[in-house]
Amino acid sequence: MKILIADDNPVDRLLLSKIVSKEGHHVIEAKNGKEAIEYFLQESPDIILLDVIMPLLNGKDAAKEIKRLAGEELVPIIFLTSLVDAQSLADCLEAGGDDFLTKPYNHIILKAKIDAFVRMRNMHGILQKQRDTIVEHNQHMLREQHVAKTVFDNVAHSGCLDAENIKYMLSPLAVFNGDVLLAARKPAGGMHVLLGDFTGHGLPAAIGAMPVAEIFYGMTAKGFGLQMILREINTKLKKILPVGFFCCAAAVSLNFSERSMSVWMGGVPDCYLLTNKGSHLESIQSQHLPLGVLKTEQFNDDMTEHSMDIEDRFFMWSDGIVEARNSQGEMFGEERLRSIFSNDIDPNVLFDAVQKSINEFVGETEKDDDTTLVELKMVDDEAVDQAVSSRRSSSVASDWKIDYELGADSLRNFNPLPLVMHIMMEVPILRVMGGQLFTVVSELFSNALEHGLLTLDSAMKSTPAGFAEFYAVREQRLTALQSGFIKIQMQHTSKNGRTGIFKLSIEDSGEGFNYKKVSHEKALEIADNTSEKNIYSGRGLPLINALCHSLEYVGCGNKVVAEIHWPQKNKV
Amino acid sequence: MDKNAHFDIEALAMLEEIMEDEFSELIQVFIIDSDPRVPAMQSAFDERNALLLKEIAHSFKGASSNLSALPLAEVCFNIEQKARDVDFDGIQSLISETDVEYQSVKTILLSLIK
Repeated sequence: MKILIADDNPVDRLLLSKIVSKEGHHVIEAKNGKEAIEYFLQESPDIILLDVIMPLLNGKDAAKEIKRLAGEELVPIIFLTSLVDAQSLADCLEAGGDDFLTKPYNHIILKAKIDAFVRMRNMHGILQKQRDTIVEHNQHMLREQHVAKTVFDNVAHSGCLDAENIKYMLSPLAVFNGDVLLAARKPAGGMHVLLGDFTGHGLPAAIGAMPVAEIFYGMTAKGFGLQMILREINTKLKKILPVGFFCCAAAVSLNFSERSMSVWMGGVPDCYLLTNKGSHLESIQSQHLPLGVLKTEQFNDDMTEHSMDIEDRFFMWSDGIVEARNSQGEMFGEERLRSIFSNDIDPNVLFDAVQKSINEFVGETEKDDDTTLVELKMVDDEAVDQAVSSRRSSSVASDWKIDYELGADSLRNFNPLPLVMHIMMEVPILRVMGGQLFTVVSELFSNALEHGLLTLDSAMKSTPAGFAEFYAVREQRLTALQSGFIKIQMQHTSKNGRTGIFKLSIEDSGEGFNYKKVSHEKALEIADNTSEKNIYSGRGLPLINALCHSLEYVGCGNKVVAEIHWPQKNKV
Repeated sequence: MDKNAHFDIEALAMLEEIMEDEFSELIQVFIIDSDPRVPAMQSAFDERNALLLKEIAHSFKGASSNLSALPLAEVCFNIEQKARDVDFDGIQSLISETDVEYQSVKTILLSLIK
């Protein structure tokens, strides 16, 4: 250890130096308070022995300055004094001294004190190092949490929560929210909303929200119904959540055009449906276990149906609302919640009234759970659609046209359908009708190739042997194909993102067929999907016709034009 | 001269043991440091400078106590207290007493390092 001795008295200094250096410490000597500060800065001693009365700067003032300079570091100061009255000794400690040693010096006591302070200083060093480590770890953790939070927010984003018919309040207890609120427009109109409340709160609770959001948004965009989505979420959560962890949820499918709502509730507090201009209140209870509890085959996706008029409202909340506590530890409770609704408040301000009432009840009390409150309002279809479509139009292909001509070489070796499908899939609404569009495009393309260009007759396919022969001949003729083309033309137009027309025409360089002659005679058959036999050379047209708004052959029958309009009536 | 009358013998022996080779240096430093002290106390008293007198007496007390010259430390302590209270009565005789005591202490110390 390096020990600084500051004493103006040479005898005392000599004696102390001797005692201290005999113990194996390195001694630095100062003759007054000024020197003491100077050497403290130069030498960074571990312990300081400081005489109280010294010229230039006395010991007490030197001690104050040294303690200030040392900052967080513990530099023990032992005052050397022949003062004996209690107040003088107390003053020494007041000035920042850690102990004192009275004259005449006793080398045994001095040694013991130095040893004690060496231990204290070492311990202080360890504490500070540990504290710094903790601070560092904490900062590291916070940085990681913020990155994780960004990823989390990107995945579990709020969808169309800012739609005009939704009011919500989300107050997370920690950085991460164990309550999840998701809303998405259905491609064919209407809206899915899901309120989930995971067991616990913070990161462990929030992490489960990521797959829920992925599934919810992914499947909604692909046109899946809410029941399928809930089933999928339940299966996923059952698989990934530890035993005892689950997600209480209320899920709603709003149908604006039919003015109705389907509800699935599992493990959440009663939700309220407010109808008849706010005069009628119905509570809807959870009929199911939370998501992630039951195995897939036991899961029940039954939903309750409710009709709603314009301005009717549906309220849902996580149990953090009902269980919010005031300073006396009392819970807000369902009774208090219900009483707000029976107060005849204007439905337009009801949401705010509930929010205000809870905030006033809880006051300054520490929250102990995430709290979420949502109001869904039935509105005119257009009100929501307009808002949504105007936001969407920026990154969506809505009006475009493409001509794609394939020559004999390409037709022999290349299947253009994946590419064609890919282009169509850039229009979100067409994505939803993907399966149907694929049928139309692949069927019409096959017709153009097989019947138009290769002049095959599908009547051949009526027997098993003929079926095989059909494909053998097809292969033969295709390989031998030297000239010819197929032109695919696609066009999409949309009106305000609310309606649209997809037009597909496929033209081949073949001779065509007499569609005029047969169309009149067999018009009835075309309308009838079940008809197996028809004179369109087995062109599979009844099926296609059913899927399209219109289907028309032009020219000599070597060009077909199909139109698909959306939104479709009763087809999605 | 009787060492017992002027020193704590045990403490002095301990000091000798601690200081080893530097014992004589310690004594020399003490004497060099202390020789001017009695004259300095005298002049401070002549000027009736109580503060200065108190400081010299305090310092002298510390050094002599560390050398286990307890009677010398005792008389210095008396001067220090009187000076602190700005009570000059009997100071002159205390200074004389200090002078006598210091000379004895000095003689004994010098005899130890011959």
